[in-house]
Amino acid sequence: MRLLKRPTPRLLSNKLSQAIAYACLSGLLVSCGGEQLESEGEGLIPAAVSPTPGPAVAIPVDGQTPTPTPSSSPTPFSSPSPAPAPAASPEPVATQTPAATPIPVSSPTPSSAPIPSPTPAAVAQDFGMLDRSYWLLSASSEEGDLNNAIDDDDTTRWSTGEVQEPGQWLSIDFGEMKTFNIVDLESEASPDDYPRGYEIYVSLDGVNWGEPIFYGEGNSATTSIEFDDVSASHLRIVQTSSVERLWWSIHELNVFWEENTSPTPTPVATPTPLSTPIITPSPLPTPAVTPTPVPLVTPTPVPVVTPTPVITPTPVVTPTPLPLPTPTPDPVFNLTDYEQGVLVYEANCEFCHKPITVSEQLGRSQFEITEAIRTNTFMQSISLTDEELRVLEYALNNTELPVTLKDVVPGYVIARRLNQVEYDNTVRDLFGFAAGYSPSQDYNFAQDGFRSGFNNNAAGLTLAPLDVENYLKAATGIVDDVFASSAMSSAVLVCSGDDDSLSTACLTSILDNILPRIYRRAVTDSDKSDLLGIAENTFLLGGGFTDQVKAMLINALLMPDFLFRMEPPPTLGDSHRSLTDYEIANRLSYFLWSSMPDAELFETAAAGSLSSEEDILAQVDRMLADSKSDTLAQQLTKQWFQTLALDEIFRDGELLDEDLKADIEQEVYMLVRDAVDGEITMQGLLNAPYTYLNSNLANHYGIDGSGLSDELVRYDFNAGDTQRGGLLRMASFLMINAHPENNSPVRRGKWVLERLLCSPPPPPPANIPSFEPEDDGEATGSLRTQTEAFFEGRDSCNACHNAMHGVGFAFEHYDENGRWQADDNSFAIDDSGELFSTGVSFVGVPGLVQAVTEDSRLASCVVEKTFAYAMGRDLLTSDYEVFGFYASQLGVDFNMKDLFKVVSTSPLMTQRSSEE
Amino acid sequence: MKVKKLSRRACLKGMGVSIALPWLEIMGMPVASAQTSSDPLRFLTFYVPNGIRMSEWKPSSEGTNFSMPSILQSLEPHRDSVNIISGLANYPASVTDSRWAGSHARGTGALLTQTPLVSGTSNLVNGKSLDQVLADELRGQTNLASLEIGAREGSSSGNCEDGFSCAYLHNLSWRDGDTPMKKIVSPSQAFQRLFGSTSTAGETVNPVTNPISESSILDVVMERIDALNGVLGMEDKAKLDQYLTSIREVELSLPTSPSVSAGSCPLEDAPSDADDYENGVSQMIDLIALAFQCDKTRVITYMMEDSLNTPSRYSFLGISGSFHELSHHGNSESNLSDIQTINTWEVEQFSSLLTKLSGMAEGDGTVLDNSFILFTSEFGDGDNHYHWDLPMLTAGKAGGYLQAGQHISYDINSRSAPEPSLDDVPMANLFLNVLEAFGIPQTTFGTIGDGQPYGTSTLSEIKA
Repeated sequence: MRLLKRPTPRLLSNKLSQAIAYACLSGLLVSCGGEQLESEGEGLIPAAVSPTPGPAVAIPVDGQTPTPTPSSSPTPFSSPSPAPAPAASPEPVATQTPAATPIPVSSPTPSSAPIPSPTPAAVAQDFGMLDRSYWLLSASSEEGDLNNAIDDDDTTRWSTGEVQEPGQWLSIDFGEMKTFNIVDLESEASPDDYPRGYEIYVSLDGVNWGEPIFYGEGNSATTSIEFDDVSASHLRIVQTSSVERLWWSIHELNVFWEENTSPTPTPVATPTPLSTPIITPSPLPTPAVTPTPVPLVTPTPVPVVTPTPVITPTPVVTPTPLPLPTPTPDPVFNLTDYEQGVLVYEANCEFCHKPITVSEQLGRSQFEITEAIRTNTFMQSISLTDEELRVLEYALNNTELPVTLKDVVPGYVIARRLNQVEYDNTVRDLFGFAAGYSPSQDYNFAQDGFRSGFNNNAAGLTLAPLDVENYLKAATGIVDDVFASSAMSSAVLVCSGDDDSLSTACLTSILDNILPRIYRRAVTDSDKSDLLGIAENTFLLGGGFTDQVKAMLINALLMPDFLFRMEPPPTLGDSHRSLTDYEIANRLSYFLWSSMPDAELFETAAAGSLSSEEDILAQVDRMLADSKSDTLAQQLTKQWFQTLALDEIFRDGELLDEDLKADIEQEVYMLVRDAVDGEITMQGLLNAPYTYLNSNLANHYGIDGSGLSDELVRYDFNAGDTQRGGLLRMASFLMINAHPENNSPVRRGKWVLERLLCSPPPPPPANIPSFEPEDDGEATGSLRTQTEAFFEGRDSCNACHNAMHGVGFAFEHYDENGRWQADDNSFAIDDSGELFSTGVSFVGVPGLVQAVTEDSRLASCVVEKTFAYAMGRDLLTSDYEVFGFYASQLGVDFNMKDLFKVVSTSPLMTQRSSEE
Repeated sequence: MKVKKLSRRACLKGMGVSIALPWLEIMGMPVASAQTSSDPLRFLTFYVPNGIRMSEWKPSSEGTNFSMPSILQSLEPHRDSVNIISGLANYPASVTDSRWAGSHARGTGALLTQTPLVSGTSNLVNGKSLDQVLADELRGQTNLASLEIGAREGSSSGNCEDGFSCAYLHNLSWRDGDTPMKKIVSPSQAFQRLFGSTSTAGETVNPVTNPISESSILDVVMERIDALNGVLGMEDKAKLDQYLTSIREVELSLPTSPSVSAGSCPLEDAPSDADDYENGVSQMIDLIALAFQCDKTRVITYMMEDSLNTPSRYSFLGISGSFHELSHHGNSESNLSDIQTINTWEVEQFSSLLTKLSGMAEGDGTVLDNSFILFTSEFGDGDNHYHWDLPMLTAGKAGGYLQAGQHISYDINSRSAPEPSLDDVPMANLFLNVLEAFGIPQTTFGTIGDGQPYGTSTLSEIKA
């Protein structure tokens, strides 16, 4: 059994807006605006599906009481097997609660928990209020008897006994299967205690709750929640919001099954046990006039719905308008093949292959999909119906870049602590310390955790007591160091004050001068009075003027305004806002310099001149020309191209020699810096006809290093010499992706797929047989021959390994130390390979480099990595479409400077969304 | 988070008059009563990474007369103080939508929280760890509510991520779902954290000679965080709350705050950090013993080193290469034998700690008798990465709560293919024993997700 994480409302609404986005894309909807979201969203909901791949369920015949057929196959809810059951997916009825939103059901992925699906009620059930006599209630907390909620006395109540917080819940065990579509939560006697947000879950066993079937917000003392018919034995209401002071109380709780008054019957679903429910044109006859209330699982006759024309998304700025469905009082439209295909893709493929708009699987045929599922262990649990296969193929063959920039969701970055590099650089530039001044090392800062590939990701930068202790020591030490230098201290002390009395005027002048630079923004009187307070405190404790200034500086260096970069949310109700000029100045300086803005950037921001694209571009040009942009090249080198991993490799049982390690890293850095400087293009990172060497490194490579000294200098290769050139022929890449005694086609292939094409293979399963190369003296063939022999017939391994080997075998001429080998332990070398996902064959690294540079994924991957670093946040699904758009604008090759300009002026960098 | 605290004005006034006000009372923290009727109880988690060679760890018979397996030989002198508990599972660590990715991260991050980790969210998502539950209970009774230490830093190349954040691999101790309690890897820094000074004698802080009051500064910072909460988003507030609560923790251990309790504390100076792992490990072990002896904290989490720590070396044991790579042994006898060598050494270090603690008399017994100590790892076998049949050892008598000297073996229902079974006995059940021993019994610990509890009953076999 697997368990689902409980989805947050935000994720759900993302999912919904995504679904809406696809609808918009199809031209079915003119606007994606929030107001229309609810009603338009409804039509997107796939209809009910059968809980098990069991027999077909009965169709109600009398229009009044359905006669359900009990399922003959038990539903495997408690089985530890990963076979998921399909989601309960109610078709929402028109709701009276404007704040409530039906949830588009994302179908269970193979790894999802079995989601309880309604089975037909065991007993025929009449419409009306459910009998509460046999209910068993439970709740996350209890203040007052739970049964107060079902005692027909609206003066007594159940309550959480604590303020409303997300996660509080109340569950009903009905004791048997019930069909219902309304939940009423009444708290008139405690009129403010209604739930600010809620989700409705159902379950067959009270253990597995799956995804919520409905969610919304309460806004009055009675919360009436209406949704489509659902059958279950357990119901749970989860409170999803928070409010100050108030508890969540229920005086009376009732559940109803009311006759569906909506004129819109539910579309039929094809029972699809393992993947997204697909709405298919109904083969069933149109029913009689009376709409039929149905339990969820009962396929309902479908009204004639105008089939939506198939769309072919094109990479155009203006989507082709398509005919709207015939308006009805409650409009419902069918999903196009494309939309259905996207849903199938999202449910089954997206986890590994990214959003469909950037998927490397575009163009796959039904046969290829079937073959992949059959042969790939990772896909074993995927099962698609013929119809799903058809629409999936359709979607994969008709997806093109749909983005227009006006739709960009900028996202937001949560308050992000300066990481070690940023802290050091900022302190350096703030006070004028020499390069190399490193409080983070001097005071043993705890390491910055990586997240989403970089260590400047806000979520990964946590704060613990240890950090406070270190910051306290560092702030004190830094300020002492400032005052130990006459140059630095005189820059701070713009006036002089008395020891015997408080020189408030001078202290204020000092703050006026330096505090805007410490906080990296304009400061307020309140900012200053906070610090004047500590000066006064110091004075009262006997401190003289210098101590008072020191105390203010130490205090400022510990303020969140210094340690964090904060961008407050937009005004309530706004979906996003433009960043202020100061915020943009900070974004630019920490992206390009990993440091605070300099005087000119501050002045530009203060003058309100960072709002236009031209203004930003002028600063970016200037900043990239500044030597502080070396940090950008350094960080990309260490993190993206992973020279940090040189610290972690062994040769002969020992870590690398420090000098050699530094030289190997420097070689990568100098080429990356050329790219950052615009000396070479992005592709030049892979195919530059030169490198940088010193005598030590030349010696390592076995290159004649006569004339070279300790300093790395440019070394041009002779025309036709393709042994070296570009990152993939450098010791760093070749060594970090090798075993101590052998090269590793697997690791090298994986690295290229992951870091250059952004198409990483899934992680390996546990407990797999490990391939141990033969000892050199006893080898019976080349490493490649041995590898191929080992993997021969291991189909489940090859599903992933073919892709890695296809790339990695190109490097067979490079041993574990990155040295060229003419043969492999005297066996002939075969360095032919294939880019598996595109089917391009090549020979050797020059061939691989050509294939990679011609692969459109390279450009979008470079865009993706650069944005991830620049923004310092996790990537959103919507980001990928933006990256694809930029990549298509930049072309297959481009100057990195142009990319930095695109990044710097992108809405992703100049705006922020609300948290909703 | 609602914590009553001083206004800045009140604090500054107070400071001007007398810096020596009883800090803890000002802060609204309970102050331990001077005369404790019983000896203090300590909790320690002693963690080693990458699993254990289980065939040489697990005794062949149950009960009290088992013969000590090879890896555990060094525990023979402490046989009456330890329990070997076989068959415990960490089911929450197996809950994931990505079957294999992050199994080290999940095993480590969820080890003391017994809570499924979630990848792909905008922030870290874990639960509160057992040690922090205890720290909350004991806060104010010692200078430090808890101490988190390790003997070396983990991987910093980003290779630790594995689909999750590196934070999960670096930290066992979590104050709440998004706040790992980072560990100190420098023995001298850990010493100063404990004693606020470079000597156990402490130093007298005279406010006249140091007019810059750290605690006043931190108070201004807390006021500022409070003010910022009005303008920031929910997730920003959560980040700043990490800062706020961390400051509060640090204020309690500032030299200006009075020493709350002092066991019989020998006069010692801070160590200078060893530059090799072997000595670093033993310096930290000395510190653990000293911290317990001086009653500076009662809750310690010791990660000897991080899981998946690629650059780690055991050359001092004659082993070359990376422990993590070795742990993917592929059933090679030479790899297994190296793993066994490392495991044996790890247990020897643990045993040396038990020796120290059992040599410290306290009340009618020893400090070891008054401790509840866990020795564990995130996996059983380092190659298969399963989070069931985990190595688990308790040491100490927890003030008489524990019945020691046994090998208890629970049935294992989880089977090959990494499919854990909920029928396996949860490690979280053992944690309920810990809470019970500390006088704060709870009915559940941990979760399997979706609000469903994981551990629901204590292990009766280990109770005296």
